[in-house]
Amino acid sequence: MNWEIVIGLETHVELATRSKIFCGCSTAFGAAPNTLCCPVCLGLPGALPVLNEQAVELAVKAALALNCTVTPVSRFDRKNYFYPDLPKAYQISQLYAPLARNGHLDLPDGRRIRISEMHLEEDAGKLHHHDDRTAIDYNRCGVPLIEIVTAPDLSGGEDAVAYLERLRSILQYLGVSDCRMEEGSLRCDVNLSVRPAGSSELGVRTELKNLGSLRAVRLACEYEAQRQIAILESGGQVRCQTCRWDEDARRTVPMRDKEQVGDYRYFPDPDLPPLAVSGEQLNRLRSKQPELAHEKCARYARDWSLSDYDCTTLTSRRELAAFFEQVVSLGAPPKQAANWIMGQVLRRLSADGLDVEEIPITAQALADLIHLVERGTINRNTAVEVFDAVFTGGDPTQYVRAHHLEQSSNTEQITAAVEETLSQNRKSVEDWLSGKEKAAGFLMGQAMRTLGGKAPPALVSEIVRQLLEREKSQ
Amino acid sequence: MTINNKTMTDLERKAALSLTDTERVVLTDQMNAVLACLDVLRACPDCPPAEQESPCPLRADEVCPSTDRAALLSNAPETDGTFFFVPRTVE
Repeated sequence: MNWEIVIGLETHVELATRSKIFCGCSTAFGAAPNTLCCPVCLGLPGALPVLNEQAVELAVKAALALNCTVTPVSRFDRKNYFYPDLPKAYQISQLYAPLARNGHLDLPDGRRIRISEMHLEEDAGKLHHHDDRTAIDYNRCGVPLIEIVTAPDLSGGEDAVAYLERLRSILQYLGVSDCRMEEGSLRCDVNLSVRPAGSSELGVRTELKNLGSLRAVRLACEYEAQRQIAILESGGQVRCQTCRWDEDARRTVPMRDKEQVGDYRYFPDPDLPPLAVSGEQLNRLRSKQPELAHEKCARYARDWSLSDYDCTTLTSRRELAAFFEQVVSLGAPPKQAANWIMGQVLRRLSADGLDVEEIPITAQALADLIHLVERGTINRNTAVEVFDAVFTGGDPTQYVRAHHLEQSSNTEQITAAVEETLSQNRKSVEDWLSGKEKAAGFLMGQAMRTLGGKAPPALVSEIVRQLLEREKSQ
Repeated sequence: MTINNKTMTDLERKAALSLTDTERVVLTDQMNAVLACLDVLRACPDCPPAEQESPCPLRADEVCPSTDRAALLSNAPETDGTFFFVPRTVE
């Protein structure tokens, strides 16, 4: 029997606020355990939550970019559960009136993934399990999250990864979150079921909790789908369970029977009045929405005829795309700018252990360098040398002048250098005369070396040919 | 929705109460009065006018000093001065 995999995702994204959602404690990552906490974080008696305005604004920006309808009045609810990662024994979340509903995200191949809802909530603390006890760090408790819930529109691990990559790109471009999966600022739960191909009924699903990397998402989906298919094909029944992904064993491990919404005894949080988002606020935020990566991709291809690969690479990070656009705005031809950035700039960043947020060379310097090559002042090889010299600071034009790197088009000088080269490499000249075409390339390289690389390669090549032909005719 | 005699009998059983006839009449009237209030609330508009500020007070995204860790950990069932400790929660 052919089986169809059905996946819906719940993605938790930490918002890029300075302080927590309901108190003024810092959201900084990596602080000493339990040093970023207060009575609100710990749910001590009498402590009252006050909502962070920036968390609301970032969440609304995300909702608009995901084509959601923002609820005019949303409400906060208490999700009750007893577990030490939340000392209040409830999480402040939104169930009955979430911040936004009915959005969508388009995958790169054009398929539309429906987003059922997006809500605001607080993160829980972090548990470290030891042999006989569990250590708790409540620093993360109260960090603002949005939870983005898709309809069951994805059909495999690769689909889930494509969705998450597009989602991450959108949220990073918006500045809503850094989406660093390795730091837990983007985490994903997968709801997965299988059904006979062509069936419209959903099978029994399992939930795979807290997947912390794209690789884990893909592998866990693949494993879990095969596990469920094997159960069904042997006549068994899939249990509605919550599972975790065991990275070392590369398998899903059941944790507990899946909770239903009733198990959480949701009720409206009496400490937080309804949250209203006005049409005026929506219009203001809508007008400030930046151009997103896939929109930039389409524009680069349309306006500058860049390849898919170029567009995707340049827009992979907001900072890289901004740098590219700055270089182009300073007059560099887009294709040349793209080649320099994807080649030399990324090479040097990698070699120096820098992030694209830390590109030391200015857009002006790179644009000047490209102009020097375009005008024929220096050749490409010299330009790479200049690039390396000014990467961490400096003016390419001044550097070229100071080091006398301008190439010369003086044909008398070049002819003299080529004649000298031919006289010093008679064996190669004889090889060429006997039909070995490659020898011309070697002679060209030697001539460029004699000229110190400061001559236009095309002109040198032409003169090498002329002199070889002359020898042939003698 | 209104509370009738059948509903009252059911509620009486579930609440393990034994009401006299008089108490039952009084309580039925009181509960119906409460439900009538809810009907009034239900008729209120769900959405404040667009120009009205959010009923939910908002604070600026500013970091305030956190509470001293030692003071917070003084409530811990067990601690090493850094973490809260509880019995192991996973098998």
